[in-house]
Amino acid sequence: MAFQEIYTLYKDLVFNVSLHYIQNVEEAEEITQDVFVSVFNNLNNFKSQSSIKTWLYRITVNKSIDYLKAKKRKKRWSIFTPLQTNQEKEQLHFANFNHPGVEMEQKEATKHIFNCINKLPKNQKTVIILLKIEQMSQLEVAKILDISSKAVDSLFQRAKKNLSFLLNQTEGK
Amino acid sequence: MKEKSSNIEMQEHFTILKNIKKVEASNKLYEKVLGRINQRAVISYRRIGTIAAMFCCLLLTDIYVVSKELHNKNIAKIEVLILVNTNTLYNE
Repeated sequence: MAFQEIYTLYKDLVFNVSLHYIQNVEEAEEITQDVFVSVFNNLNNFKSQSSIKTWLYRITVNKSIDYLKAKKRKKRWSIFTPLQTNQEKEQLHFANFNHPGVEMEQKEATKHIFNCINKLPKNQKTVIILLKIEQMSQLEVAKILDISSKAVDSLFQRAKKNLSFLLNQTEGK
Repeated sequence: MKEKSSNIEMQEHFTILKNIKKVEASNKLYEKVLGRINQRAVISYRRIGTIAAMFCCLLLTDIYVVSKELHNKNIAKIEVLILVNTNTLYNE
């Protein structure tokens, strides 16, 4: 399959998944670019053991996690970061929240849920995004993460429990 | 009872997530991707240039250090010769 064809078919998929991870259009576009540059570089090495769609999901998830790690690292070295309290950090996230897929009346509730999802460990966050936003099956998620279907289920149960705790904690404030 | 209400709440949260609409990626994105792909080649040439320049610098420094060491050795030999007193009158 030619690169342009792959891009046309999957650009929205890649953009939406990265948008769910970052919740900011500009940053999601940057990740989408990273993903397709990586696809271009590795297209010859791609072995059809998995489908292109699964491969793209995998690259997008990894690039999004890498992007978040790099962002965290940058913040750690910033001069003013230690002065920010957790509440200020949350406010900053709320200000950066820019997800065009969220309807106006659901914006506050969605922001709140995403704020809690962002606090989950990266594999739990991935499972929530793929299962509950992308509406994928456990088997599809298992293929993307290269783990068993059972492991996906156990990850989801843990994610659900942690998310419920975080949501209750913040609602209680 | 509490667990049941918590489950219902979680289902509501998941429904909100499920209702997030798909967004279309910008049309300009493809040009940006192509730009990045082409830029990559330029950067790699620049990297090669930097590595070559660093290698040249190292080589020149090495040559300079070795030549200076040789020069110092020659001076040391001359100094030894100067210290040997050949003036016979002085000895008497």
